[in-house]
This record gives sequence, C-alpha cells and structure tokens, in this order.
Amino acid sequence: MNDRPDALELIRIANQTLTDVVLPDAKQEHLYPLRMIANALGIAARELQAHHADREQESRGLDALYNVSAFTEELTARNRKLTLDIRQGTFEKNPAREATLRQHLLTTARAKLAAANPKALNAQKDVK
Amino acid sequence: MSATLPPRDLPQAAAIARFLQSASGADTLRIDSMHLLSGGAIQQNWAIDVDISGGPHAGTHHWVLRSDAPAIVASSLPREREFAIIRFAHARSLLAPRPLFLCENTRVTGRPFFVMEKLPGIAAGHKLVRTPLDRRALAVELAQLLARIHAVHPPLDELPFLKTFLAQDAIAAYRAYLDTLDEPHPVLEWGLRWCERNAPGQEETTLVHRDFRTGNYLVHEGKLSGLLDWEFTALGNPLEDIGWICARCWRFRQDQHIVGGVADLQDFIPAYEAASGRTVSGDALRYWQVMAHIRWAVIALQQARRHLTGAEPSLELALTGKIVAELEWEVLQLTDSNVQL
Repeated sequence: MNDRPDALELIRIANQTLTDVVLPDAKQEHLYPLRMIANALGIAARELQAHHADREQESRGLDALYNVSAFTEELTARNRKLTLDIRQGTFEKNPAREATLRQHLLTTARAKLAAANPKALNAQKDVK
Repeated sequence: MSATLPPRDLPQAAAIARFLQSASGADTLRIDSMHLLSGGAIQQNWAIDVDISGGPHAGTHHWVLRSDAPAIVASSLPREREFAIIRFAHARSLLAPRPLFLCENTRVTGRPFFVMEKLPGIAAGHKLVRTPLDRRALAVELAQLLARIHAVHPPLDELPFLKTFLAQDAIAAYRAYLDTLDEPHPVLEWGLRWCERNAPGQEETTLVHRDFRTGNYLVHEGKLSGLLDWEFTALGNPLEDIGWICARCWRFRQDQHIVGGVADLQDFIPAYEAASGRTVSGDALRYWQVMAHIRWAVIALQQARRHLTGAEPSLELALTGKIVAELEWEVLQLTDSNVQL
C-alpha cells in the first residue's frame, strides 16, 4: 500500500500550487497551456474522487435495465451489449423499459459531465 | 517546450520562401513575418507577410499558409482537394479566400500546403461573441451566404471527389467509427438511434460546407467578410449546415443567441427561408442539432485518438476528448420531446 498523500491528494495540491503560485506570475504565452494543465488536473481529481461511486451507480442502472442483480460481467462488456441493444431498438417495444434506459443514460451522462465540466452541467437545464 | 504547443516558427521558412518565389513568378521574395493563427485544431494556419519584387504579384501581401497537422482526422479532405473547393467557392462569390498556390511536394515542408489571401476580420469565436454587433444584420448575412452555398446542386464536374452525406449516410459513418473504438458510447448510440427513427423521408442534396459555424467565418467592421475551413465540404442535406451553426457547442457560452452565439433564430431562419425558398421546421432544426452534437462528439473522439495513439501527443487534443461528456448531455436534452429549447 502506498503512503499518503494518495493520488487524489497529490493531484489536488499540485493543481492548487499551479493555480495559486504559478499562474498569477506566468508569462502570457504560457497562460493557455497552464490553464489546460489546471483543467486536466481538475478533471482527473473529480474522476478519481467519483470513480467508485459512479461505477457502482452505472452498474445498478444496468441491473435495473436488464433486470439482473449481482452481475459480475465487466462494465465495458455490459456497456458494449447496451450499445448493441440500443442500436437494434431492443428497448423500444416496451415504453417502461425505454424510460428506464433514458433515465440510466441521463444518470451516467450527468456523472460524466460532473467530472468533465461541472460548469456546463450547472449552466444547462436538467431533465428529471 | 511542451509537445502540446505549436512551433513558434516554421523551420522550413526558407524552403517555403523559395517555393513561393517560384510559384508567384517573383524575381525576389522576402518573408517579413510568419506566425501561427489560433484555431485550426485539425489544420495549421500560418499568417505570412511577404514582400515581392517582379512578376504578377509584385508588392507586399498578407497571405495564409494552410498545412496539414501531423495527424489528420479521417473525414477531413486532403489539402489539394480543399484547395479545389476554395477555388470553386471563390469563383462563385461564396466568401472563400482567394486561393493562390498549392504545394503537393512534401519535400518543401514535409506536408502538403496551400497559400491563400488573408481576409480581414475577426474569426475567433470567443472574441466574436463578445464583440458589439448588429445581430440582426449578421443573421441575415449568414443566412444569405448559406442559401447561396445551398443553391449549388450536384453534379459538380470540378469537384468529382465530393462525398454525399445525407442523414442515413452520416448515421452509418458515425456508427462505423464508434465500432472501431475500444470503449462503448451508449449515449451517442441513443442519439444515432433517435436520428435513425426520426430521419427525414426525402432529402434535398446540395453543396454543404459542414463546418459553417462561429469561429470559421470572419466579421470585419460589422459585416461578414469571409468563410474559412472548407475541409469538410461535401454534398448533403442543406439543413445540416443550419443545425451545425445552431448547435449549443458553437455558441461559446452565449446561449441566449442560438445562432452561433451571435444571432437569434427569429432573424436567421426567416432570412434563410426567404433567400433559399426552403422551409425550416422546428422539428427539422432539432433533428440537425442532434446530428450536429453527435458529429462533433465523433470528431472530438477522433481528435483524442490523435493523442492517444501517440501520433501527436498533445494536452489540447487529450482535453478535446473530454468535451464528449458535454455533447452527450446535450444529445439527451435535445432528444427529449418534453424539453423546450
């Protein structure tokens, strides 16, 4: 087991140092790449922090959609099946199931956007 | 210097000067300045100021050199084809820059490039949306330019390489690309299925720019002064261009102005309808807005791949992959018939 600070804690303090110490006195030509670095570190921190909860939530959504529990298959493989089912219109025969699908997609998309760009999530209208 | 940054200067400047001297028929040619223009994530655009003695181009000129980026996006046309389109568009007064010289010899800079006249004006989206403008007049100019592009119908003998992208062609192409990726994209699949189920029955086929958006046109002294980036031009449904410029992703956070963050629908759509003779229904607009976000998501995934494959390590390209989340969210909003947009 690694010693603390852990990966998330390191990324956070690195980003804080970048923002508080480096950016204020940075040369004009370095501002754009430095802001990109801060953005990348912010996304990485948010993804790491939410990783387990998001995966669990996504898995539960797939459980509800496919009416199975304790599914052990890997998430990528389950999502591959999901994309195929969407493409083939599998859920369209049953409005309730289609509504469950839509809710699942909204939940996972919201979680993804919360990590990638929380400002965009706040700016846009939410759909319940 | 980080690999994400463009080079400050083209190391091949001397070779470019020799090429330009020969191509322009000059006795002597001097490059006075050369700098990379912002934008152009797929291609690189260099502003070059030249001073020429002798020949038909004698004098000082502001030109733009457009070159392939190290790793290109599959759907982007090669430079010689884009050059042919710009020549075609310039000849028809579609506000394309005047094309000057094409260099297909990769020994000059390592990549094909062409040179065109530099048009005046602001293109940068984040600047343009904050510039005081007569929004109504710009809406009309944009609509009328689009209508002129869409008045060009196939067959086009001068541009035999143009592909046709009607709705079902686009759906098939995006699915084929998604199938090449390791990670599945359920939301994009949802959007594509929605596009398939709601596809227009009959489609008109015209010339389409396919990247007609804020960031790619120039505004000079309040007037539309140019249209750039013809690399995605194809034949297709003219309403695709309408959906593209009305997509949220090209509003640069100025969501109150649905048309590219600069103009309003109530000015733009009637002007387009009047100039083109077509009708743009709310449903059709929404359809092509959905398609626009899916298409930009597919391009963003391709951009991220340029980094991920190691072909062109770049933080900017890597971060482009993270835009997909925002585009997917918008696809879900747009495909919900209960949501007023």
